[in-house]
Amino acid sequence: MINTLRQQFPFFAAEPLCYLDSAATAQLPQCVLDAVQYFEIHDRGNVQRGSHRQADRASNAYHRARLQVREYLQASSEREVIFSAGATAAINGFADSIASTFSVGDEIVVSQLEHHSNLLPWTRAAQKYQLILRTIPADSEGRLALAQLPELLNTRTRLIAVTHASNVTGAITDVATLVAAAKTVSAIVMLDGAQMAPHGPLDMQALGVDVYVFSGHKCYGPNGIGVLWAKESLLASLPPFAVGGGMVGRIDGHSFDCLPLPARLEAGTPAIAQAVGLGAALEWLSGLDWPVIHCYQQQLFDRLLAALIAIPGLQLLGPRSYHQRLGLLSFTIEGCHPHDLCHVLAEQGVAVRGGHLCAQPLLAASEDIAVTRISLGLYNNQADVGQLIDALAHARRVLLSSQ
Amino acid sequence: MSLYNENIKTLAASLATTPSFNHAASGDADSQVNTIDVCVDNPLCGDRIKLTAVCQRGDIGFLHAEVRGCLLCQAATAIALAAVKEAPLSADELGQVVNQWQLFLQSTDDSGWSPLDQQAVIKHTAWQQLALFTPLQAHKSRQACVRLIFDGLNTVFQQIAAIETVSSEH
Repeated sequence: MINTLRQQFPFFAAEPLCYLDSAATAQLPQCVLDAVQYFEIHDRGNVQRGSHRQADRASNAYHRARLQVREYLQASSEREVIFSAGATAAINGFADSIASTFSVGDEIVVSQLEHHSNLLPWTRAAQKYQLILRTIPADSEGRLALAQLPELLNTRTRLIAVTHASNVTGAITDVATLVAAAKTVSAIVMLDGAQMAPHGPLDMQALGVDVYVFSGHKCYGPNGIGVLWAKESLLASLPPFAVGGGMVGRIDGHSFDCLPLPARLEAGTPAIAQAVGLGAALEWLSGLDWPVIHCYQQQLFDRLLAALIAIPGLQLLGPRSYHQRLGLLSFTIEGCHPHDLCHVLAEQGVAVRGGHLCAQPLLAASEDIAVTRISLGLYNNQADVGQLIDALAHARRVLLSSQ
Repeated sequence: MSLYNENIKTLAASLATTPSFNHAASGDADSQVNTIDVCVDNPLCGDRIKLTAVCQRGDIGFLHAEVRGCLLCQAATAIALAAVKEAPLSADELGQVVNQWQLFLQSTDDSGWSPLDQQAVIKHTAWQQLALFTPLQAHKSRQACVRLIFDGLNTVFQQIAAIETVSSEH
């Protein structure tokens, strides 16, 4: 099944590369390329405002994409789906908007595992609106130390914004525990789903969170598109993230009123083709046999983990079992700087990522300046894992030979 | 040539054992000697160089470096230490090397780095070892690893200039 699935990605026919960097950007399946190309050839136009055929086609395509997102998230209504330029843009818009409704001294909780995209918007909002930012630490396995959460919550806690799955440790957050704790103080819960969303359809009702954010390019969709999902009542209460065309109802002198959701939070011409591509990607993901995929990914993960922990001087960041974690592994090897390692692996035709992974606070706590990260995508197979293991052995020979 | 060739690795490994030479100590007694500490980071990869420079008459006469970075960053720093060991380094000399090096990295000429006609390189033959980084022409994302030591030295010279400006005002 996996090889059939891999054949749906033209990238691998065009580029003989062992691609293990899907946590940064996933490749595009043919159906997504087709959807984007079809839109640009046949349906291209602007949404909402025209009465000609192309305006109708573009509006219909854009609306259909929103329905596809709603389906993927099991959201109550398509009005709860807001398109953005990406997860970063979605969190920035949401953070500034909701924080502007808080009172001086109110508190926001983030975590040590956050990607900069779910840290800096809250840091800035806290500075701008004189809020207090609290941080859930990570435990020794790279999971959120949720046992400490009750100590961080109080009657001033308005919002908890944490990752659904860490882009460094791969740990999946225990959302049920998080939501239960948040309810004790009536705090809003926002999950950064950038890493989790590509791993199968989600159910916002079952998760019990208030806000969910993810990006298209990690979900086998185009760049430049992301989604902010939130409960309709919450979205309706937010000041618009931006103002301009497409979101305004009536302008009277210097005052104006906003269109209903979702338009009121999507000022300007949206990224229509990208939304169409994302919709196609999510529909494609929804149709996959996820139990089989998860089983296969676990096999890859177990083989990878066994090979890694056998390497002398290797330090793993994150849980050592596949339980409640994603198929990504971050590590350091004594004597091999991650950038050197990534470079030599690239020369061997293996693409992995090295650096601080936009998670400087987490790496600073572990005294690492950078790590190497391997992340599995739906198209990766045993041959990829084998090639990586061989390339790692070669890289160690190259980098450690004269030390 | 492979980027991770034996010479690069040897240079990087030499960093920990490279003794620094104190030209400043042998200068004339009337010249002011300043010790300058700078720390430069590459925010993209987390590499960091801490430099201690002893400067006299506007030149760097002693240089000590602590590097937390990749092999390329370590090797480039080792070259800079070797250059200062040969002779005191001035801001103009560093500027010549950096300018030539930048032009070389941006060029498509694959004949290699050979700035033998440059005055700075005649005085500091260690800079010739920058030729070892010729493969970096094809790897733009790694060029910052080598540039970090130049950024550090430039920062030292900026501080020297600031000190001299203050001194001249008093």
